[in-house]
Amino acid sequence: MTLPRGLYVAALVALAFLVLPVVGLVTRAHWSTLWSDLFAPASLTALWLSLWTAACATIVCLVLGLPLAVVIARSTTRLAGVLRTIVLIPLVLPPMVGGLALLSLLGRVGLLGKPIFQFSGFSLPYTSAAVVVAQAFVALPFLVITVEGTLRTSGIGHEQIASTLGAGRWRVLGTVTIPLIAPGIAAGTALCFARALGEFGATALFAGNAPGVTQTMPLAIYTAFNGVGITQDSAVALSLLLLVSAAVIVGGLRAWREDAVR
Amino acid sequence: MRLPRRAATATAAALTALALLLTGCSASSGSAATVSGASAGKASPGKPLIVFAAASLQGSFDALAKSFQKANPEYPVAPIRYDGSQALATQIVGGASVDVIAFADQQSLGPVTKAGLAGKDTSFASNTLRIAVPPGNPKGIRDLSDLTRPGLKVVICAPQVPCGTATQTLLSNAGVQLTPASEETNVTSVVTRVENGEADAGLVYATDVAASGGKLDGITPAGAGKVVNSYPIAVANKAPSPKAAHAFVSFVLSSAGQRILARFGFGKP
Amino acid sequence: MTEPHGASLFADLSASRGGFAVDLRFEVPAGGCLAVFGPNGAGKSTLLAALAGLLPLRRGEVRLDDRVLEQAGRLRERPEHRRITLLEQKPRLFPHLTLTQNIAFGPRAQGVTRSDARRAALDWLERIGLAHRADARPHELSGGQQQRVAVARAFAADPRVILLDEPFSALDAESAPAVRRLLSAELARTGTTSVLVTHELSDAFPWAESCLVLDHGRVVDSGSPHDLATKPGHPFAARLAGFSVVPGTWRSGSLQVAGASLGGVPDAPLAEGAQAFGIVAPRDVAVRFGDAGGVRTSIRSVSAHAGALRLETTVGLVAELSLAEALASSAGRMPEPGDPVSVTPSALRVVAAPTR
Repeated sequence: MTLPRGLYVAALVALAFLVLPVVGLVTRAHWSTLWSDLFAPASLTALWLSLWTAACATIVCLVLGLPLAVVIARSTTRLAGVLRTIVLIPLVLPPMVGGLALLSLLGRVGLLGKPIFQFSGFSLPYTSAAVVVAQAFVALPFLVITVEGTLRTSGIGHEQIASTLGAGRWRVLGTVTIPLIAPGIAAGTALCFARALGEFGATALFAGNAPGVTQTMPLAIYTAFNGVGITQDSAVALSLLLLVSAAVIVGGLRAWREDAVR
Repeated sequence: MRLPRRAATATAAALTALALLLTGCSASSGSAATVSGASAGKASPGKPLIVFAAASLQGSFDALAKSFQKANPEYPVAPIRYDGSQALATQIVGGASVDVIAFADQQSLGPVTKAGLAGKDTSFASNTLRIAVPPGNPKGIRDLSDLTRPGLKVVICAPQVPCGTATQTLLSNAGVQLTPASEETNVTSVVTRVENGEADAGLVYATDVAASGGKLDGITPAGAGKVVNSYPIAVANKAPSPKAAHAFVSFVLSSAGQRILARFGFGKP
Repeated sequence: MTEPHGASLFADLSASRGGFAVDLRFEVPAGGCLAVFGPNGAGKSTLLAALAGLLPLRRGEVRLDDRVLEQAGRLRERPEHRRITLLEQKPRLFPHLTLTQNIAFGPRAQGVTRSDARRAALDWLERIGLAHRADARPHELSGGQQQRVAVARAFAADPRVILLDEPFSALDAESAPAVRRLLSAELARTGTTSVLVTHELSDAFPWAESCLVLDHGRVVDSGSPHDLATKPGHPFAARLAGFSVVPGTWRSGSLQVAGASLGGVPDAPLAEGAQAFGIVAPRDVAVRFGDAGGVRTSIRSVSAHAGALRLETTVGLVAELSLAEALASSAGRMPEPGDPVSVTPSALRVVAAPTR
């Protein structure tokens, strides 16, 4: 079915809106120093930190988010509405407020953090684990909402048949429910990873900014940007590096899963 | 490809609306100026003065602005924009509208001068570093070398910003190798972390300790007097209100202005 | 691999789902088959869901042989432990599994080893003639083929009772016979007890010894398929059996319909002025064109099939006659909607109108 022509024009405007800023970024790069900026030890450290913390955060989101998504999808409409609203909290909170919230709970003098510190001498801020926590906090809604939506539309017919055939509840979940929504899970995971990778505000406030430990790429870019002269060029280089890495990983993830299931 | 007439009109209308929306937004928020200041029924000439000042100048410059406006009611001052000096420099170079520029070190003014956007600058105050600790100094810190104690959470400014450059000089002068828990992009964040107990100690300005109202104790590290940040102030070249700008700068450099700065803990320029 | 071993099923229950409720009592002997009929919304699917354990009972109990499966408020066996499988209109095969894996699903869930389950599934595929598509995915098959696989999957799970919810309605005329044959063969071979919900009374004949007719969740008629086909007692059952049904009032020993008196023989004594239904075979309804005694009415629709005409009248009576008969009584003219006619039923049975 062909669409009204005006729709294509509007879509083109939207695409331009997304693509042109990136084009602007590329033109700002200082090509002479780009290579050395890209592969300076500091930038590679920040990139590696970003990648592995985002990966861990995504795993945390899967472990926590999948059960929650299944529960919401199989709840009554009213309860589901309430739960969905709660899940949206990190989306609605500005990331810095999220960081502040995490500090007030898990900081050294926080609600839970204080007794934990007094008992074990361990506090979460300034550790890489804190980065994972901050990223997981902001990225969880993406996974839950995507998976829950897929579950709701797929309905319970297959699960009911499976249980009459003799499958217990865990077996139904593992052999019927989850495989049927695999594309939704893949989409949610990709979104979740991308969000975790790009997270700045909550990480800056909750985990701090120490190279190699908590200075993820976004923080490195911001710090470089706040510097004078050469460091601003390296901010552009870092931004490009992060953009390309994210695009490769997220694009790769989606393409692979979408082929596999059909 | 000819669009059907209705679709073309609709698209054109939508794009025009979008363009208007965007220019409208940028015009109103491009500068820090909100149309305030011209209050109290007096028909004031000229727009409110736009001042960009380093984060560490917050308390003192608010006081300076108040004093200035009382003495010169014809020159209203818009709410002053505070941020890290580099961040402000980037905004100015990027086209932000500004009258008066007051940064925490000479180096940050560089890009602005290089872009031809700032006139001659004058040093108006100086600041030295202090070790900030919670009241009562619970960890018993006495000097810079104490900061390297294992398990101690120390927060400093990132080397890219003025207070960070000073910190690095201070530490290397004293021969201390410090691995901080975090490097913040402006000094206010360091202050906040020590104040709310997330960090055991931080390296901040003397003025920050003075302004903390008892929430911080300050320890003067050895060699602090040798690492001095000289604060420059300048009138912007493209200032919308040059007369008011010059008047303000003169006020800051006057004995009245200097008294106010001294009250906040700044040293002589 | 499977031994004949259906279980007897006893149900005396009340259950509801969405807007549909059901309240009834029945018993099916081991290896037997009960057919359940009813208009849409009568509660047939609700009944099956309750028996399968997908819906809690509001009242009553369900028993399989001597084993109590559910007692409202006290005991409820989960569906996976009941050994009652469900076959619906839509095959509902698992789209992400191959045909073999689909059929092996039940045995695997019950603890059979992977290789044994696979072997059993392949046997089933042989039996249904799809062994050459063992590794295909459901979406590659036609509707009829998918339904055959669904039948195999339901039986492979070794149930004591199999519930069939209109399993042929979504099939076209070509694929339905194959599925019917398969179901017949497997029910006979395994001796599994079954409950069959269907719209077609003729479906009951090969399998069911007894039938229930449901309306608004309650049993309004019951009996053997033969009873329902020849002497249905409820208007819906009568229509199912192909009779023509006409509402009227019993007065002075006769059914009054649209001002005409049709006579008729009541099944049971009827009160004067009671609402009643007349039930008559369409072949026993005489049609005269114009005004000639009997009920004055007009033709609502005419349909033809292989030279036989079926005339629906506005008063509700349906008449069947051959083309030749129609032409003869209408002086050589083809009957058309709107034509005034007089209809006279003979051998009219009269039953009381069902109370809501």
